[in-house]
Amino acid sequence: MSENLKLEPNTLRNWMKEYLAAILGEPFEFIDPAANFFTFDIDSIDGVTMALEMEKAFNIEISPEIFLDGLTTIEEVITLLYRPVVEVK
Amino acid sequence: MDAFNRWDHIPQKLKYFELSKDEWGQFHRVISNIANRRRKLERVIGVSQGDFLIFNEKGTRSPIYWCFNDWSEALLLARKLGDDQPLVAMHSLYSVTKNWRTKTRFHEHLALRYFENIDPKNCKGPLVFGGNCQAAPLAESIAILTSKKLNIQPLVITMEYVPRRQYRGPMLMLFGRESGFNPFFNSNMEPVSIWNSSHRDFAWGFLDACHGGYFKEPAIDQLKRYIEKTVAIFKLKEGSQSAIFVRPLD
Repeated sequence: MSENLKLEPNTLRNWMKEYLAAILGEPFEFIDPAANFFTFDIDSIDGVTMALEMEKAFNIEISPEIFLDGLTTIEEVITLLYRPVVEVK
Repeated sequence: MDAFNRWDHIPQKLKYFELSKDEWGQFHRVISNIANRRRKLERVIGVSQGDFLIFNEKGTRSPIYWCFNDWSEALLLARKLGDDQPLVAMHSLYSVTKNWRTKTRFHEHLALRYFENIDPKNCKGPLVFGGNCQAAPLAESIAILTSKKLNIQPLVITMEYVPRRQYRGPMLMLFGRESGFNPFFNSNMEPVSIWNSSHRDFAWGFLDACHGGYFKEPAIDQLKRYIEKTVAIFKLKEGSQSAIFVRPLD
């Protein structure tokens, strides 16, 4: 996965889906972004390494603990990380 | 079960159980399991050194040695402590064996294995060992070994653990404020008078989180401040590598 990806919802979503698909050995389409992380068979080390890899990929700082809460979903992570720029006219 | 008797499975003195051949095989499988988990994290961060995983390796401060129950805890603490604080992480028997009898029999063998990998010459300041919950007795055992074999008294920082083996050196004991592991909250015994009878230098503090949540915000911020403050006031005694812990810690 290339570094310094654009921080926007679709890219974030696809990145997380690809990452989880790779570590779980599942097809990309099977990763439901609305499902909480408990659904995926990942452990806490998987969670924090995902955060670290995401930091490198998007050149941002992420608190690894967001991936340790099994109730969080991919969509919720996107909401936490992505803040659209609003133009003030 | 109160905060004291939950640790009754731990012998009060260091006890090396003689392991059978099968048990040694199991012990080595446990070590291998710990190593496999460590390698998962090491792919992205940290440097292995024997059984240890070192974070913030280029930091200029004296390293802190800490026994964790999961390598992810080590990452969270290392990030919170910052790049300038090397953290040498070890892993307890938590989740690599669920059998309490096995944990008891393997405990001192694991502590000895870790102790033999520590080189006090690498430390610019006093030795600091930490451990949380099930990992705390490991830190205590390593500190006792250090004291007996190297004549150095490290600072021991524990979380959610009432000291069982009566390490005589300086200790900081941290507890969840309303945790079942907190002797001020979950015991009929008065802990300070017990500690006064066995420790010369000790202090205690409280973290505001549920058990298992201490490596997440906001408790990890409190933990960081406790660690930094305690280490900072931990003074060297006449240039030796032993130290006096000046109490009280407020």
